[in-house]
Amino acid sequence: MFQEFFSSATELLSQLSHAVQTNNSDGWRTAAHALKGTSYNLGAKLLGDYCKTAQEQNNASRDEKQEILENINSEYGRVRAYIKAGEY
Amino acid sequence: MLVKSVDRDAEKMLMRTVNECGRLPAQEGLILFCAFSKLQDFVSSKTLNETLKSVLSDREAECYVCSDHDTFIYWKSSVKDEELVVIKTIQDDYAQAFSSVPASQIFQVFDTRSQLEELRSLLLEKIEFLTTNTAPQDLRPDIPVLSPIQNVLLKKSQERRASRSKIEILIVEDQDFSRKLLMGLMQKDHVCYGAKNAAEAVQYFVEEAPDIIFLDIELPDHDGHSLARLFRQYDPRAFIVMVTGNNYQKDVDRAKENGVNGFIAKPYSKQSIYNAVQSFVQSHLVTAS
Repeated sequence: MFQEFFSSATELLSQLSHAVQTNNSDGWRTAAHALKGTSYNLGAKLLGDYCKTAQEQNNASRDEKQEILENINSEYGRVRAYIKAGEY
Repeated sequence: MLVKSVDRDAEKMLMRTVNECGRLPAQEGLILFCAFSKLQDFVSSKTLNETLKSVLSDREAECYVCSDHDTFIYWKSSVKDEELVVIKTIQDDYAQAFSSVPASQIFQVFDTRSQLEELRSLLLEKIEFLTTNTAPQDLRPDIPVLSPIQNVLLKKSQERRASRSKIEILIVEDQDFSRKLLMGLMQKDHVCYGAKNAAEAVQYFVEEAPDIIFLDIELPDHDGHSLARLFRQYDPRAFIVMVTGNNYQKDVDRAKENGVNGFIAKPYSKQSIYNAVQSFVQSHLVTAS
């Protein structure tokens, strides 16, 4: 199940990154929404909250989105490390 | 054995045959049409012919697979309940192509001596439906619609629910991880179906008549609110629970307007899901008593 989460999250992070680069607001919102749901379902609340911010900041500037994405990437890294270490 | 199969322009050919049936004298015997919904891609009318030959060895039969995969089979019969034998044989031979519901509950049989007009109306609706739904994408309706034959089959939903021993649950969620997680919670005690988009959800809704539907709001092809409205419209007793990451007041309000039975926001607890199932059981007991 965790593997399923990693696989899904990796794909969605890639979509977020692509959406920033191409200034695709719809793509950004859709990917943020999807990652928010899977994160909350896993119990990764902070990651879900960052994604919720991303979804709501759909019309933010490119720089702002880049900053939000960095937060998401960073928190995803922490969640991934936590799971890999078996600290749950 | 003469089995005629029609794949191309099946709807029009079918209508022609139905009209011809209306001109036959009554003493020609019982003429049956069996209609069923959404045969899978790999079963063509030609492959169905092999099965028909085995059960209707000495009679004329025709088999029409429409462009949306609804399938109609026609033959003359004088044997009581023969259609059940034919349908059961087809279902046994092509088990993968059908859902698991009993044969007698997913097929609609028309006796042309008494139901010719009903069949003709259904076909007219069907032709109109196909014309609309093969229009360019931007001219199609915003919400998913049921085909006429799906609508006919839905009328048996309550009968199907009443005959089962386990609760059947449809989970509509486009994210694989979230869908599997929810299915994992439910599968131990219940029968579960997973749909990743609205089109699959509609198909499960018609063919499996689920007792409970857990429905995500954001789906790739349609939004969950529209789908909830469609389910409620065609099946007032459907038990619908919205499960969503969109915990916004406007979504709660729309869900209420659509008359859904529950609203669960992510992150949800196992208990909130179990409570929704329990709520269904309670309402079911009240209805039954």
